[in-house]
Amino acid sequence: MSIIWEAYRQLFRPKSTEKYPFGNREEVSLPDGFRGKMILNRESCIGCTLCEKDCPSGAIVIIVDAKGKRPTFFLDRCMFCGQCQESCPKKCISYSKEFENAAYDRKSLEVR
Amino acid sequence: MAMEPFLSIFQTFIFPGFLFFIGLAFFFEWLDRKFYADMQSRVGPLYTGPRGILQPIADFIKLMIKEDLTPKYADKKIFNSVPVIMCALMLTAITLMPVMGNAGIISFSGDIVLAITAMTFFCILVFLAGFSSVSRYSAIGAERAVLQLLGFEIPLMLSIVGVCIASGSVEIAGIVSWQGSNLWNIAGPQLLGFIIFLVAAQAELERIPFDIPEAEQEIVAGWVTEYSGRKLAIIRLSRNLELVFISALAVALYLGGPYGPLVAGAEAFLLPLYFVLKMFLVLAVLVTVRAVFARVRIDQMVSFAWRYLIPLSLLQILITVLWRAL
Amino acid sequence: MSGSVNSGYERLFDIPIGPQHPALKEPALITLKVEGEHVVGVGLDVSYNHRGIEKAAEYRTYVQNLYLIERICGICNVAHTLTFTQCVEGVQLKDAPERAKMLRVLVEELARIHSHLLWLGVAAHEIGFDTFFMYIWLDREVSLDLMEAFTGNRITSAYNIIGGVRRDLTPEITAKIRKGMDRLEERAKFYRKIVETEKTVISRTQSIGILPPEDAIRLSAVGPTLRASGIKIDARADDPYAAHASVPFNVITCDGCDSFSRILVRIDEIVESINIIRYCLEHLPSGPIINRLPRRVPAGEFISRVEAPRGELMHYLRSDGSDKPYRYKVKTPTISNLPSLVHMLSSKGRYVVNIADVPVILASIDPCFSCTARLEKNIGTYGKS
Repeated sequence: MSIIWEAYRQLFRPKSTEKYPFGNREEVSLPDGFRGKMILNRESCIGCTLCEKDCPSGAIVIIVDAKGKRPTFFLDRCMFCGQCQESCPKKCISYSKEFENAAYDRKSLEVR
Repeated sequence: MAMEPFLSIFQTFIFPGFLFFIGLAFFFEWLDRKFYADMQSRVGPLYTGPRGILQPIADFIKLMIKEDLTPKYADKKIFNSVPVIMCALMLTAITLMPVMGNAGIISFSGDIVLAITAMTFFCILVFLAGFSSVSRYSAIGAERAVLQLLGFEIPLMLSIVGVCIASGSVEIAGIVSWQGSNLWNIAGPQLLGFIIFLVAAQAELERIPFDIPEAEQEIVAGWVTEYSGRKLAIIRLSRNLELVFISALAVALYLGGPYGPLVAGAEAFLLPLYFVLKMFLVLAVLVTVRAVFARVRIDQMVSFAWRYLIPLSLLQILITVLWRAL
Repeated sequence: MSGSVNSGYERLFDIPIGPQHPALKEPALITLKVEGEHVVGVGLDVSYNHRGIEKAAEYRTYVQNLYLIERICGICNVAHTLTFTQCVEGVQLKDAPERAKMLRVLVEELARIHSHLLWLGVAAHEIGFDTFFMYIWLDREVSLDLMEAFTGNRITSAYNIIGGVRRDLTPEITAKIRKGMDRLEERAKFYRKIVETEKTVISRTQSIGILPPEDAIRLSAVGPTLRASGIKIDARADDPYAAHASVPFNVITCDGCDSFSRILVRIDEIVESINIIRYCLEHLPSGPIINRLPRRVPAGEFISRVEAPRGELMHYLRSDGSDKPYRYKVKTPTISNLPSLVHMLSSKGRYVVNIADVPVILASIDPCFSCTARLEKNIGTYGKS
């Protein structure tokens, strides 16, 4: 019975449930350090392939293009551990706050 | 006179008959879930209809179109007929409820006994459902349901006996009209009886703290474990009807039935309104009890009933008799 | 109901709890032999979720293993990475900087708070007290939000890395943590009041799952399960790792030896963790947060132990000079507590276990079966074997 006053107090308080994704999809607040979809700065990348070596889930594949060796991230395998950011000697990998990464085809889950 | 049969058909099937009560049953489920969720800082049903009010109906329809499985070794005759009988029983009992005035659609001398019998039969049906399923969880759930019946049935009956003594009638119509001319029962010595009634009702309805026969964490879903599809839908509906029935019985016995401040000319509208509003009050109490307790164990429940509820209900009868004598 | 009657019928039958059951959050099979409501025999099989993590660790580099080891257990991920990094640092005879050690303690205690709150909610749910469960899990969000703000993720934080920690504390996060701790302390005291005054909670947990101190020692129980039997053993105090040697704290014990005292021990540990976090924030040494270590690890072996939220966690590493471990062994707290669990579930003499008590006892050791499944294991007095 000792919880009864707390229970009645909750009747008059705003509810704690976040109505995501139907009500507040735009107002979801994420902290600054959140690891979402990564961003690769292709200009400062030197193609050292360290990120590929260290990736624990094999989500990074090195593809050679006109500029040389550049990593491609496969988000469907990524587990957002942040090791590639840690390993990168030029710090050209960063994380955005984009977390709604579901997609219908795997092609759109590649980050170059 | 030619309108008489049509009126009685209308009363039986539409208002205040089956359709009204089934609608009320769905509404009560929604109210129950919403209020429970509010107390827990959740939102509850939200998206089907305005504020999720159609969610129980959506659940019902969903269950109706789901696959209906019967266990291979179940006693099929009993297993299949229990949901239907359960629903029919509750719909019969609910017609005794005096929504429109002193009496319900059906009213006869001693109809309170029928109401009590309906509640007991409900438990017997629960037992049959559990035992005919031939599942270990169901068997234990059925066993617990019967043990629980031994605990709450006697205080429930004794508290109703108190009401009958106080108002000098064994007919719901008599009790309601007595309350119309005197005080409501709850204002007199029946307050104790009302509390006992609600506690026992919580056990009858198998709600926390007495949801022992279907304790999810212990025996999955207890006696309902093997039911699915249409049968489960009907069982859920009849349990909601039981919730309506018990709230209505509490209103009729203790809260003065449909009576309240009346405006001349609007009685046909105001009486059912008062009745339903009072039922909400009873439901609010039932939901609060559900929210603030943990589930007790079956032996604790039975010993609680025999140690406290039964002596208290006997005391309550004694007080009522003395009060009548004075 | 007890006492057998010769009626010609088989009075005993089996109730399987698991592998899929509402009381279990993970696959495990508990076979109960019951007579009416009373449990007369119990068998336990926890090997439903063998993931081969130890073998997988042998094929990955130390850097990659960090994230594999982190995923042994979601709830105690901080404890697992901490143990792993200590192993790798230990083989190299190097140490993390002082500031990193203090930050490790901070995050570890933050994870302990969220683990204990999660457990408390589950315990409330097992006795059918759903309102309490909702409130607790709502407050757990406070600690999870702090984790997310500080480490970048709610559960798998990836915070401890070999040689130090990943992120430094910023003033904004310090202020956030302080505010969160005030809120959590207030709520922990409220929970203690509820648990101590709510009659139905007391009647469902008191004298249920009794584990006397001598049995707790004999069956090698660990963590809050052991401390609720009144034995003062805590890896943080007995074998201080990270910065625990310089952080004062009390080892919480309770003499009740039952499920109720396990609830009290965990609530008090939440309060104690809050105090540790506050101390860490005040006495954080300055300096670097990482000590870069080489990728290749010299040959050697190391055992590291950490007081995870569920009890003592032990990792063993044997390296052969390459960049991959030669052998990695994990001993999670749950496996140490399983013999005690079977002991508590077995009725003996006047101590009778009801079916309704089984979820309570099961929850009271805070089991994590998926972390535990490393071998085919069948224990208990009854069951398939």
